[in-house]
Amino acid sequence: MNSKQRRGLICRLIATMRDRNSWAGETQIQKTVLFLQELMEVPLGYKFVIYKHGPYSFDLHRELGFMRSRLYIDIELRHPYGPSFCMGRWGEEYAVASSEYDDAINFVSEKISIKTVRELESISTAFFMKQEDPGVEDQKIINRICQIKPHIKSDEARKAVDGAERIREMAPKTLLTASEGDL
Amino acid sequence: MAHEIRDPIHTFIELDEDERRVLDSEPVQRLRNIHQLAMSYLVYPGATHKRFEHSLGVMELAGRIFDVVTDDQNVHDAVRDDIVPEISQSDSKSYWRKVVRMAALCHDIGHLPFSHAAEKDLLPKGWSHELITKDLILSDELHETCQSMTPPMRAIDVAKVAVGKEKMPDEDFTTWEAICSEIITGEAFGADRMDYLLRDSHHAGVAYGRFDHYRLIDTLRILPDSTLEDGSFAPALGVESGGLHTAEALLLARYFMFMQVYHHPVRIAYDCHLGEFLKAWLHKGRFSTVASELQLLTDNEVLAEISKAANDPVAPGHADAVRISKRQHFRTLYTQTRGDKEKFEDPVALVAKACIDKYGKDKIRYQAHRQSDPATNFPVVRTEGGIDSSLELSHILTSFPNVDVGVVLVDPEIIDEAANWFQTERDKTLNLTG
Repeated sequence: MNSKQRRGLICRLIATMRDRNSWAGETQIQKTVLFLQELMEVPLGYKFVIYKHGPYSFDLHRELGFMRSRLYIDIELRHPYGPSFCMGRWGEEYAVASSEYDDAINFVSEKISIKTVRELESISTAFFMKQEDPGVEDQKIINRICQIKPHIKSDEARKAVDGAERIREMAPKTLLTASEGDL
Repeated sequence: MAHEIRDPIHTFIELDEDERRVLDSEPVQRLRNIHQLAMSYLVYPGATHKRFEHSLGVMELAGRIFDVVTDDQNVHDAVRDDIVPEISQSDSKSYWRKVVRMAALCHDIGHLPFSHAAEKDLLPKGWSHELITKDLILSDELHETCQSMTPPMRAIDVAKVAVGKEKMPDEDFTTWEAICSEIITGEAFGADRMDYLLRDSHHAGVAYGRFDHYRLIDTLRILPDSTLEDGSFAPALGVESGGLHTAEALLLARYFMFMQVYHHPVRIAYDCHLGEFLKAWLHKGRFSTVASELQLLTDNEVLAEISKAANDPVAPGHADAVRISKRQHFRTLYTQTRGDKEKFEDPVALVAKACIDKYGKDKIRYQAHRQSDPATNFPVVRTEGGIDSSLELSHILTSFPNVDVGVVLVDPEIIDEAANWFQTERDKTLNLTG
């Protein structure tokens, strides 16, 4: 996927997230893109690492900044939380040309982007750790989450591991198969 | 025993015995011979300062920031769980204070000659000065120095705090370690940024980089990130409301310094010539990524080679050495304007292409730089206690401009002809190719 296609897809994702009543702040976008890329296998090519709020891509952060500077996207201030992303002056033009992954975008927008940041942090961390090491035991993931994120208690980490697994099971297999051909 | 070093920005910088030993180590002493602003001294004659004094300055500021944000009275209740385990006991707090200062002192030791100017294209793919910094901190010399301290300091802690998570993706960072790293490397309030703005501004002789860093540091806090929605308590560096204006001043200072100093067209021209000289002179056109080999190279060795090559017509890089030594740098033909940016996605590329078609690629150089995120979004504690995004409270930050600069340069031999050509063809060039 080239940068133009990738940015078009991000525009489309943000529009869909807002249609689903997601706050569409950077954290929601980061976590939703993680699932879009890693679970739905949309080949965006962002590198994610575990950071303060869970899986985070510095590349994606820079991309959002770039897209904002070029008016593909913009920010909107809404109470009571921090800024939301929305379509910028040139965003529609990019978004309409990127419908190829609409089913995958719809799935993650419905299942991921509407969660609270607190839920997203723990569930995406659990998902990412399992993704990095599929054979790892759940308890090890729980321990690691609690170690690097002291504000997440073990029962919350346990729920996150279960929640991540449920999302994996819910992901439509047809979408996964369809997108494999595009990789 | 404490040592004191005079400094033009911070007056006196104090070091303890352990810090003095690291300061005296080869990797840190090498920074005495790495210019902070590459060849900017050819534009701003006073800008001859080195990474060495900057590193001392970052250490001083990082220590001050650490003291303020870990003061018990300043710790916000919502983030106590994340950071209290690390600062509730004086031993642990004192250990991390030392790690943060040591990391600040070492944060630039992996720089190539002439700092950033030489980095792009001169290291193998995937390498950066931060990775070399990490390798040097974990090298036998610094590792053993850290181990011999009382209590022993873990070199890995120093490396993580010095270079941050992005450059060490395979290491787990606790939230506390991420915050410690942010004290140095943070986009909004990192000690690195504060010191380079103040120091570069002072030495370049421009006032743009000044801001009230005393007030800013005094109001820095570790806060729950208000920019996140409903109940995330992951902490980030922010300010009390009384520090908002000086935070704005810092971000504006950075904007002006980038526009006026760091991306000055003549500096860009020298960056191009230096990069091309290095490509011709270095073995296979690349710096070694072996930290111990890189340590042998500083600006001094490169300048000596430039001087030799300028006087030897068959030496590799002769033409660029002449341009640098005899001030025959490429001249500005086109500077990107706001109007052009609104009409074209990449006006610099359009103009450069037209110029290359007309005069050939040897006669043209071009560069565009677009800052991806001015880091204007951070948590602020309101006077009455609630927390808001800075963007909710500041009109300046809401409409903050991005650094977005670009320039097309031409060989001085054809500047007059090219300028005449471009004057008549400017609109046509942009419109035709756009």
